[in-house]
Amino acid sequence: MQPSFEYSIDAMVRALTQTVQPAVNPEDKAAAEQLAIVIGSLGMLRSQIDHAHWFEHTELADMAALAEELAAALAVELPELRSCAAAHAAAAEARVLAMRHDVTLSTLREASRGLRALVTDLISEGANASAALGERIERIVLDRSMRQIGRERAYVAGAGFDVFPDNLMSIADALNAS
Amino acid sequence: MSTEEMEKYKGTGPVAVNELKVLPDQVVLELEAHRQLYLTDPERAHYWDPAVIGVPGGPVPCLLLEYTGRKSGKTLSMAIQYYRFKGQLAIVASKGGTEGNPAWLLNLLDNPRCRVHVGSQAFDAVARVVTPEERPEWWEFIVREQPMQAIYQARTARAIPVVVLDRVDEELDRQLAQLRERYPTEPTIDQALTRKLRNRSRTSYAIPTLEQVGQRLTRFLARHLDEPFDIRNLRTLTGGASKEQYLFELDWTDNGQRRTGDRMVLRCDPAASIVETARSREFELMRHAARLMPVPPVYWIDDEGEAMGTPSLVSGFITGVQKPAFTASNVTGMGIHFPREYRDALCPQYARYMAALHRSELAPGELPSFVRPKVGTQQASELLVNWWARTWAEDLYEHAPIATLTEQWLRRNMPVLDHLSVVHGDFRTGNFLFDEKTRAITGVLDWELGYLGDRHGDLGWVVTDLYLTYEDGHPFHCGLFDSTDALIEAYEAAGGLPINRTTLHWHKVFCTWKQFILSLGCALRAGDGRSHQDILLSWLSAGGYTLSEALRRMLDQRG
Repeated sequence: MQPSFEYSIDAMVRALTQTVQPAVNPEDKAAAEQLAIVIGSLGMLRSQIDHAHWFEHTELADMAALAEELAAALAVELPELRSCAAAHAAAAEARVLAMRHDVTLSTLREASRGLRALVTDLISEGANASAALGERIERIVLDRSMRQIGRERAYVAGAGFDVFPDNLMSIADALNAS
Repeated sequence: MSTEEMEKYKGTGPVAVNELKVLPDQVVLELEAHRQLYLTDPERAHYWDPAVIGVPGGPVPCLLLEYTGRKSGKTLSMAIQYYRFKGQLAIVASKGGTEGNPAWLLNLLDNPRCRVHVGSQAFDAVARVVTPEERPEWWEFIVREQPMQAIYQARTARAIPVVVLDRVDEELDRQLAQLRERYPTEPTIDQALTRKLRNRSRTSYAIPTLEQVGQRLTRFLARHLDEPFDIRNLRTLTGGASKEQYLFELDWTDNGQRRTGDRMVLRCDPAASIVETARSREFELMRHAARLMPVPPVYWIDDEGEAMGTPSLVSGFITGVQKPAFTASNVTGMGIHFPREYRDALCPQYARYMAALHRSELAPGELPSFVRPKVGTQQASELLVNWWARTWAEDLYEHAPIATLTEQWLRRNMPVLDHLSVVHGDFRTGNFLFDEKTRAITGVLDWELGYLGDRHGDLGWVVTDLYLTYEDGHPFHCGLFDSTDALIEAYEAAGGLPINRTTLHWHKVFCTWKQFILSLGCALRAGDGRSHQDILLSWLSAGGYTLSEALRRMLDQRG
């Protein structure tokens, strides 16, 4: 279907850069700064949009896997924990959702958000349990965080804030590594 | 009603006590028009000029009050000027000084539950008439704000009631009680965070026009200046992500001396800010620090927003630049890298001022808005962690496993305070100005994140990874120091207190976590339609993911 997202965004950026930006009063520094950020933001969106569905699917699947791994670790010491059962149930639903093509990005994000809240509860439960279990929980989260954070950093690299060039990947490479 | 009667109502003709029985029709019509405006355009109706009903003095802040009719049971409404005093909101049942209390008061006495609209912000409230003991102080404030009230009182035998509207929000009150119990922190921090949550009901935000800001500024300064003054050339000032800032020239009398063209800066809280703290903290810190280093002089504060509609302060303007003219940077001064010749000049000054701040002594009763944590305890660390853990809990859009792990690590490893220091809290490039020619620092800015506690907090902030810059592949802290050792060496050589590396690491982790919360919590919340630069805040939030990586690396090393 035409025009594509990329086509539209490119047209917006050209209009802002070639027509609007020269017309902004240079004395109005707030307007000039915000216009520059809008142009930069559109550029970042353009880099993201092709991978948006892949990103959200991967996020959801990964968060489900994290929730299940944490729940399994906690269940060894705390088999009756209600949050473990809730995590398993939510993870199972999320896996089904992550395999579907006919869902919106916002549905995927909402499901991820729910899993993140459950993961937070599980991490807190781990901290309140034995030192050994707490360390195990921490290790699981840190190991999985590497991939998750790598994806997130790649996704927003266009903003120019990243200070770790040694392991900053492109969006596609970060998603493939997941 | 005749012209003569209208003139009596406006106070320009003699009026006997209880002579005026009812409001003139013209006044009733104008009040109804204002009420209708409030229903359709609350931001425009918020500041209304009552000149149309014969009240001079320019626009005044007004609210829309919804209440229940005691006979009909229907919801009725009216728009009226309000007064903010000592953190409370009140209206006055003067009815132009006519005989008998207004109908809306009779309805409220029957059923005090009401709904208050202040601009586009709405909340439930319970109305109560102030007691005879409370009234004198209230009345003195009210007639200073609105001299016509004194004229109204003189023309009626009844003591005009002052009605306070006490905000009620049971669900929010429950949430606040839970947050306070889980994250006890300083009273002024609690006040600022509570105000933020209460303001969150605001559904839209209109950036005030310069004309509106000028009118409010006039009212604000009139409270503090007895002699005539003139505000000239008011314009917006860019730079910084957290406050609406304006520059103006002021002609005024300072301790008997007439001053002309003093350049002043007005800093106002937007409806939501990336940094939510009390203006009183900033004001007091700047006064304290001015003895030690160049700091903009602070003059007046409107801590509750009684005159400005939002917490504000006025300070002097300082000249200087954030960076060399040819250097690029990201937003708010981040990413500034100084070439060698600039570093040689700036680093010693920077270290000297930081060291002086940390060594400075506090007089008894100084900095009353701050808690003084006890030396020899973990109280300083705990207050900090609770402040930012509560902020994250209130502002997050989605949980982040790395943030949860970090909070747990911080609490397990809290350092003991060895010396109570004044801490700037954001002492980085972008927050000091210097003279391009002499390279002398001309002003240290942005004191709003300051606190009393551990000096390692300021150094920890400087060495966070977010403020790394690079020169020929080599990293620099804040574009100034080529290593942590170099920073510590410069600091201690400048007379700074000894630095403990373990404590410094804790504060580096803490500061990184705080930056994460500011990016992915505060910035996103404030940028959601309630600030004057949402796009900047949205852009800044991207930094949160670099900070996630920084936290992951630090936790992975130490465990």
